[in-house]
Amino acid sequence: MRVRCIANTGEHLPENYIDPARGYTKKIELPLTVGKEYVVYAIRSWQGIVWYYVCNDNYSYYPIQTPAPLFEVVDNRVSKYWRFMLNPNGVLRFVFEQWFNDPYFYDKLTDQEEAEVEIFDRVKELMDAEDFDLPSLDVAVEKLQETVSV
Amino acid sequence: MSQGAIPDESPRNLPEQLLLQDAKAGNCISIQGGPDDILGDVSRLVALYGGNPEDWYKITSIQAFVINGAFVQVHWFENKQILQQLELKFKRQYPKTAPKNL
Repeated sequence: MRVRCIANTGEHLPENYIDPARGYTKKIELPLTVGKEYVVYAIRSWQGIVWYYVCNDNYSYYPIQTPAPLFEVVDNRVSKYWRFMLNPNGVLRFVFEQWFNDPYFYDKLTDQEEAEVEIFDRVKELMDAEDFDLPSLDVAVEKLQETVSV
Repeated sequence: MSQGAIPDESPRNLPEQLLLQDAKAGNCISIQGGPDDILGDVSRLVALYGGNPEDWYKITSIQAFVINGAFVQVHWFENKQILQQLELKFKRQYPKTAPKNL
C-alpha cells in the first residue's frame, strides 16, 4: 500500500487527531514532504483514528505512526506480508508477521535492538519492492472459469 | 524488557545537546503508548514511577541530526498525568557499510 503526503502540519489535522499527550498539536510540523509517496508498513486504527506506519524523511531504523489524514492513498492494494489483528479493546492492526507474532516487536525495534532492526530492514526491502502486478479480479475469475470449464 | 530504572543518558556533544533542547521544547511526538497502544515496558514504568498504564508514552524528537556520521534521535518515556520525562536515550544509527564487491 502506498500513500502520498498531502499535508505535513497539525493545522491540516482533523480535531479528533489533535492530542497534545502524543505531541499532536495544531503547531506540529512533521518530517514529511508534500507530494512524496510513502510505503505503509503497518496500520493501526482505534475509535475512528487511523495511523499509518511510514518511514518519514527522518527515517533511520523504524517506521513511525503518522496520522492518516495527512495522506491520500495512491495504491490501495494491501501487502501480502500483512496479518490482521483485532484486540479485545477494539484496536485494529495490519502488521507484518514478525510484529504479529511478537507483542513486544515494536518496543524492541524502537529500542534499536539489533535483531528487530535487522528484521525490519529486510521487511522494508521486501515491502518496498512488493510486486503488485497481479491480474485484476475480472481477469483472474475469467481464467478460473476457463480452467473449470475445460 | 528491562527490569530496573534506566538512568538518563547525557548528550555527548553540542549537537546532541541542541537536539535534546529542541525536543524538550516541544518538538517531539509519541512513537508508541496511550490507551490504544500500551507500551511493552509499561508494568515496569508503573511499578517504578507510578501513573496509569494508558498515560505512558514513548516519545521521540521530531528532528534527527547527523552527528559524527550517525543519524541521531533522542527518545524518552513520558507520563503527562504525573508530569515525568524519564529514561532519556540517544539513538545513534550508523549507515550500513556497502558490500565490498560493489
